[in-house]
Amino acid sequence: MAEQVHAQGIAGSQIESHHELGFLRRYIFSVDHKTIAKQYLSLSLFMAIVGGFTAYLIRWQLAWPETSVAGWGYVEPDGYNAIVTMHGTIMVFFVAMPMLLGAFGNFLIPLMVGAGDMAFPRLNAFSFWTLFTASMVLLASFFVPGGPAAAGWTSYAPLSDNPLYTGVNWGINLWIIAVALEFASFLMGGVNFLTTALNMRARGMTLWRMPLMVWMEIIAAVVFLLSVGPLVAGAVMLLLDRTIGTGFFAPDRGGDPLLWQHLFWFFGHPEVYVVALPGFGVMMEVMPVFSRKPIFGYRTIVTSVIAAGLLSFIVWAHHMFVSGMDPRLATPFSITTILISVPFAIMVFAMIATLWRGSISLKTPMLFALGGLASFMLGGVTGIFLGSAAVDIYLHGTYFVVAHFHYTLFPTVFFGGFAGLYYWYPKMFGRMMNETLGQIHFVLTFVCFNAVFIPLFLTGLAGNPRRIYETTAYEFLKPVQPLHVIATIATIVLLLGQFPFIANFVVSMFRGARAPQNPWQANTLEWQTDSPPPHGNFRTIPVVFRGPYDYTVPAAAQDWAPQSQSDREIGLAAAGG
Amino acid sequence: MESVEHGLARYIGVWVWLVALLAAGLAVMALPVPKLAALALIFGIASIKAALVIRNYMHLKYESLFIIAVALVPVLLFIGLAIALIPDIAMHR
Amino acid sequence: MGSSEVSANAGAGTASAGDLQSTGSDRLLRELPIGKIGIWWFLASEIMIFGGLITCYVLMRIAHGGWEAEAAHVKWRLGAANTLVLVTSSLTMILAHYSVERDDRGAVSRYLGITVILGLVFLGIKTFEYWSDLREGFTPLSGMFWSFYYMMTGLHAIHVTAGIVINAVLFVMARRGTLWPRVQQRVEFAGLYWHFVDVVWIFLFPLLYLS
Repeated sequence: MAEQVHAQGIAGSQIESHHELGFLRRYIFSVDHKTIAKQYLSLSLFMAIVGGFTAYLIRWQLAWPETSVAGWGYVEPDGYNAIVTMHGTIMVFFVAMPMLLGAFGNFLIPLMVGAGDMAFPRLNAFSFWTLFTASMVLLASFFVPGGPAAAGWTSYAPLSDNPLYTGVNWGINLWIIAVALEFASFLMGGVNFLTTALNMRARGMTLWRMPLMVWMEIIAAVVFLLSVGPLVAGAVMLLLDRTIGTGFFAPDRGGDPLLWQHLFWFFGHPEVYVVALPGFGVMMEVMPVFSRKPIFGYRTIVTSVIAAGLLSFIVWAHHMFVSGMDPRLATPFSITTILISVPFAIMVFAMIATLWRGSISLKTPMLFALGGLASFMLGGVTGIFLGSAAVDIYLHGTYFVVAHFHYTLFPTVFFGGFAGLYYWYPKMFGRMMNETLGQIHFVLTFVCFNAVFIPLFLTGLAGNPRRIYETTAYEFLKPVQPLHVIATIATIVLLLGQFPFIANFVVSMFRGARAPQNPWQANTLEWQTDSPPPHGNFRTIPVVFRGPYDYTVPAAAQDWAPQSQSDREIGLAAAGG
Repeated sequence: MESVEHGLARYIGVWVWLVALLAAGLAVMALPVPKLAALALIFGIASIKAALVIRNYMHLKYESLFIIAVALVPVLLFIGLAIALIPDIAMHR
Repeated sequence: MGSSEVSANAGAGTASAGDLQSTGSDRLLRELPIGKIGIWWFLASEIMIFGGLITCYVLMRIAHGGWEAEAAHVKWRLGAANTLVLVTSSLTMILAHYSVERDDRGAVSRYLGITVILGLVFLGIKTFEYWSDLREGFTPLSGMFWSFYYMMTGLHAIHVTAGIVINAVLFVMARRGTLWPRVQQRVEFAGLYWHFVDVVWIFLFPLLYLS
């Protein structure tokens, strides 16, 4: 019988041996998950700047149409469509996923389960470089004749199906290729996440002792893996329609445009949960630490997330209530959509219960986690409105939808992401970030984010359609124009408010105080090794004795209890606590 | 664990069945059977062939429930998708 | 700074059995070789891709009244021949794995080699088939049936090509005897991929050629 190479053994043999690696192997083509995580992070932060700039262009155009955007120039109507498309595409596929899954997932999963590296380090490196290639393809699409994709991030047929309709030829073709490469990248990454978390856990790390961040990452990976396939098929079909003239989605050639919408949203809806779940994971890691209390309802949360993951596959047509699809589908999809709010509500209540009567410490990670939780609630509640087909008939395609999804995505991706960055920065880079700058960053971000999107709920209710170049062209929208101005000014301050973060991030890397092993006095395994962790992560692979949230255990010597310390070591009188 | 010789015999036996089922499938098309019944038969045959390969060559017969789930869930999922799309796509005209 | 090492070592000796005990299912997961889990996750994603494609094809075919006339010109004899070739290559692939288990290096490389050749035969027949179809005027633009036909068989052929490359690499490695333990493992995983490609064709054949 062929020798089965044991999991830990494989990790050991594939971890680079401790000889000197050249610059290329160490920093560029590294197979170390921590370096790869930082590569994903760098890419996502760069793309966030690009995406943020597109937001600036959009908001300027909406507040002051017919004027030249400061620092850019005049935005044409076709250009506006392209900017809106690229804003969505970049933010979802090239910021949210690389940051929350690529960076956090890669950095944390091996550390949190007590492994030396990912299961397939070279595949890991390959998945990053695939994403890098995808980003280059997408950025290249800005410079091709005809400009970048301009059919919305959803790229609906028949608009996207024929270059004649948008006037964009290679822009959308490159968009399709970039998105397909991004899918391939995260499929490969997902294989790593799942295998590592299931197979390479340290001794004593049962599934029920895994930190919630790991649960979120692996459930996100599974949901992504299962939902993306049909869209990959659809993307190939769309590319063929556009390039060689097949008619899969073209009504004039016997095709069905609705098929594209179904394929897109069958993936698109689970995708938004893929993006949101790790953000929740960050909040659920941060809140217990900064309230010195165990997470409330750990198993309930895991069950809810699995339920949400399953349900996410049967809600997609709520994006299509007014698409002309079979009306009999409206009721079942409304029911499932409203049902899916239940697991998320459970998670929100669990987080609130975690905070309840905790010893709250308002450090920057906690501020962002709290801000994210609070803001998400508005997003979740407005989702119920949109999930009811009858109400959606009015609200579909308006700014109400835009505000809704920004209130679900921004809190999870950006508030959750910032919470994670401030929380794990000491571990990743071995330095502490500046707390004051962090608080300034939070206040500006939180206040301005709400100032941008609350007005947009109102304009949406007034009937303001999405993706239109000039709202002032419509008589009935003239009264809400002041709201657009407020939102735009808030956007500009919001974007400027990110500079404290950028400065903090860069300067702290060189001038920040050296980080101790466990600056937050947290329990999870990544805090039981050096900051930053050495090659192989742990000098000796830890053994795990407890769950991740044993804070303020009665009769223990201190208010935290690392997962790798036994009852006796945390000061409990007899083992059996 | 099966003996070595049984393993070899089984692999070859499965191949014989696969070829036989291929011939059977082709025969069905030649017979004057109503279209729907013919389709049901050939897809049934295809499913049996697939099951033979999956169970014996891909060793799913011996794998843990977890691996079986990883293989089975996607199949159920896309069949579910197909069913959900029937009203909209298949009956659209 | 050294507390993590001290605690890990100290803890191991004094922990009660209950702390470290995994449940049965937990142990099962850990004992699966990681390569096998990895390849099955990958196959799951591929099932969704081909499944999505087949779904679209089936639904569109039903919607458009069955495409009897359009589908009448597929070369079912060549398709059947290809099915025979692929199914046989699955046999040779599993025989390669069987030889691995018996540590028969010569047989391993022989069977891998035959699998590669059969894969190339498949591609050869496919190429001839495409050429014949095109010569008769059936291009991907000859109607939606043919669009789907070229797309589905094309995507499948790309997967066959990738499998041939993988098997060829393993063939070379087996011949040279390099990294033999790794080769042993990888033959099984390459086999899983190759059988998957075969199963997809087992369904594509009736879908495209016999319907």
